[in-house]
Amino acid sequence: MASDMPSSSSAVAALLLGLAPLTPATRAACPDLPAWPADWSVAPWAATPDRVSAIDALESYAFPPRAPEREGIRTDSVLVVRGGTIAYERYADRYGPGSPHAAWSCAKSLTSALAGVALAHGALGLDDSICRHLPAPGNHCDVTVRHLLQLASGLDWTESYEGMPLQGSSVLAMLYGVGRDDMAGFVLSHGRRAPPGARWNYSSGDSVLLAAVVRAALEPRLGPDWPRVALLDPLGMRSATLERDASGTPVGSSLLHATPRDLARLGLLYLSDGCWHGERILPEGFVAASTAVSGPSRAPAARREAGDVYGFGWWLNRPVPDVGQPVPWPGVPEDAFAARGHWGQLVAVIPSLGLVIVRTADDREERAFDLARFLALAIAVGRER
Amino acid sequence: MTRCRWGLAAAGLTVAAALGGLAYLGVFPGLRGPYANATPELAAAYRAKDGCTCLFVLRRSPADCRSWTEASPDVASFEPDAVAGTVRSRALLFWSARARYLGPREGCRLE
Repeated sequence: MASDMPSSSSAVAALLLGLAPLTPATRAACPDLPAWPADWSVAPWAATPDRVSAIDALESYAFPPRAPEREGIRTDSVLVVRGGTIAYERYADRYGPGSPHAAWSCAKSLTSALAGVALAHGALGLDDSICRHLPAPGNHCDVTVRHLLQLASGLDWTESYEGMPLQGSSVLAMLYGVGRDDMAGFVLSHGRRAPPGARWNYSSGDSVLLAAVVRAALEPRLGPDWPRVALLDPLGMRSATLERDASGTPVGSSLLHATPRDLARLGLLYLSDGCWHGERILPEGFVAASTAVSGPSRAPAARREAGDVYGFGWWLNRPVPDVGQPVPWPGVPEDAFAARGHWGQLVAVIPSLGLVIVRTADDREERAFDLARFLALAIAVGRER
Repeated sequence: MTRCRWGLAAAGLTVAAALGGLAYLGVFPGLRGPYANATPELAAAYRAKDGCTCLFVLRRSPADCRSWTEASPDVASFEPDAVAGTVRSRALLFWSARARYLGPREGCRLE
């Protein structure tokens, strides 16, 4: 399996694997971006006609009157961050800056970041077999950390939420059924559909397994509150809750809850190439590897849908000509990438524009919400000054 | 004699309908899919767990949480206990689940 890390970054990342904690020398590699505030300030934006019309367009799309029967677009919040300040922020009735929201599968991107921290601590290697970290991995020793980051373990996993019969859904069995007490053990009880690394298959099982591997790597060093010590506290994500199963493994696929402002912090970490206040938190090259089309994402896959382009826990806006995939979000810069969760949750990062865009929602009607259209409208608001 | 035959047929049909209904609900492992959880069992677990998270982690109102966790078909009850920090859910008489709030670090978990 070819490495997804760019070769120059690989060498640096490999060097970093032995360093714990990170040395000051690594700080020099951090980009020169504004320091993110401990508490958010709202920028004094001028109400130019262009900005007013951009906001009108965004709001008429994202905040229509709520339809009955949970139909249509149901936005709970939109937050646009530029240059370390809030460029635009709006909440639906009974929501505000202090309201945590379920981020659902945006948790997968956070789990990927936690794996990055474990790499930076030298506690984990991208090509480590999961058997190096887990006590009872069954017959799956050929699965590596990289495969889990790519959602390409090859395990026979069916990701579906609504629709019958529910007894065919691996993710429902894991979260609410037979797998719920020891989710990683449940994931490992599955057989194979493909060799590891061959094909992308969107799987909450892979993300939970990754959380179990990262836990095994970091908990002995950082203690039982390791997700907070490793990442949530350094980023100031005070509102974040990462729920766990009965065995103590974080449900790194699905159960992250935080305020939109705290979710923006995860995006800002990636906008700054994995640095925070000039301190390197993710190893150099990790953000680049996370936002490059993964090898398995370049291969045809049975359950792939239009627009499914994935890196390490992040959705990408890159075309994949080999499988006939055009740019997934037309009208949005190709360097955009996003954490996305059930019912319309979103943390989008657009490095070329210096923007982070967060949306929380309760979209129950499938395909009512057009992500590309929303992003283009939110970008227009973020760009106007 | 004829009445007896009709009675037997009706009883047979009732049993068949009941078995069909139970099979539809996923009560017999392996019939509807590989995972051995009946639909009402999943429905109760879903509503207990997500209802608990909604109330105690997301700090929404009971009315909001009742609506947020309403699934279709709506077979699972929503029974919050703010003092105990739990949400119980019961579905179709036989199935129930309870989730408990453990604190800001761990959120809620099914018991």
